[in-house]
Amino acid sequence: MHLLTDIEAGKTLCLECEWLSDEDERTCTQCGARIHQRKPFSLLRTWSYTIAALLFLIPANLLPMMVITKLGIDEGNTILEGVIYFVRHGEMSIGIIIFIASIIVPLFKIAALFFLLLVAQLGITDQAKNGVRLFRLIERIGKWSLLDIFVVAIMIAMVQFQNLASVKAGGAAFAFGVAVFLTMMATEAFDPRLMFDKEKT
Amino acid sequence: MKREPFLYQSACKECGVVLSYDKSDTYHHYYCPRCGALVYASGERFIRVIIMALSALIAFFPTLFMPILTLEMADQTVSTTLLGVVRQIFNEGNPAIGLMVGMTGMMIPLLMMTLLLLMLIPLHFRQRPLHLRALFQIYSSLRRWGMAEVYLISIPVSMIKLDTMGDLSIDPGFYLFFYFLICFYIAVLWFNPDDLWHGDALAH
Repeated sequence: MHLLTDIEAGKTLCLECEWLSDEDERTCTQCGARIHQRKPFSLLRTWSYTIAALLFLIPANLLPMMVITKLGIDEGNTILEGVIYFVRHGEMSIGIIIFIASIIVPLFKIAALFFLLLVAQLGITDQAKNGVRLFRLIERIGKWSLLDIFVVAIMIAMVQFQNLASVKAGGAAFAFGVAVFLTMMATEAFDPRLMFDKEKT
Repeated sequence: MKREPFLYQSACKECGVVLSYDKSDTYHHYYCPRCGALVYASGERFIRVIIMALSALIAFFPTLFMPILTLEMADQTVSTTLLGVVRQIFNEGNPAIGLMVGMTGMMIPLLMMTLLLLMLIPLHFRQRPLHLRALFQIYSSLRRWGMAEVYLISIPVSMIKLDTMGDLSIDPGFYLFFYFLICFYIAVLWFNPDDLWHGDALAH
């Protein structure tokens, strides 16, 4: 059974309020938001954000996430060293949480975005259903990769004992934050409907 | 009470199939027949959303100023508040990270609750709120950037990290923040954006 799509019906869906306007409308007739049948320059923008995010992940993993000064001695920790710290101190579960949130999730998101882009770009419509499931997943887990940034923020605020010990944010914190934001922007720019559009009728 | 059926035509956000559903149906969730996306789930009555948003707001302001964690180390004591975390990062010279944490962890959830109230309180009294379209557009663009739940979870995680440094204790601010988050979540979940235009009428 073939289902009628918005393009075939000559309609445009408002992504804000889910109202179906006629194709020739520029703004939603219900809520007034600007509407487009498909997100404008969706693939171009998604490609750009994804590649930029990948580039920011390099300094994010190589630079220290935070610098702990204990009795005058500086000690930098990259994301991976932070994970190892937890595992060594017997906090296996927290080590795994940080490892998943800070290393696996960002890489998985970028890999997934490349997959979605290829499906949409090359019109591999039989992968569209898997693609849309993947899209929903990365939309949902995206924000959790910022967990480490919040942890660093709390550490900075808590560990302020003048000469005894203090914590500063390292260069990776900024790079990592930017990388996570870029993957979120990429997800937002991607229009999953493009994966289905080339389906033969 | 049997309600009048109210057929609403829309399309799937994720694959573009045109569909229609009965908006007076408050019991069922509608899924897209092609891609399985959730298409429609009825919202709660405005008054319930208002109560949740209000209790979130009432919990929010004291949370900002209440200590969440205290750390004792060699007879020095440091305790911090949600707001204090952000201030400390600014002082330490990292405005970008401070802004990120402050906006996503606190300001955006706060703004979302305020916007909900500005839209729903007039509607509950059957008045059309001023600038409804603009308010709603701000609300929906903020939706995905609120990360209060990530902030909350980062507190126990950093406790484990801090554990080796000294004596730690959780303060009431943490629990209040937890309460805020539950109210926030329920309010967002119960609120169905297209009720703004079709009114509370169906729920009454």
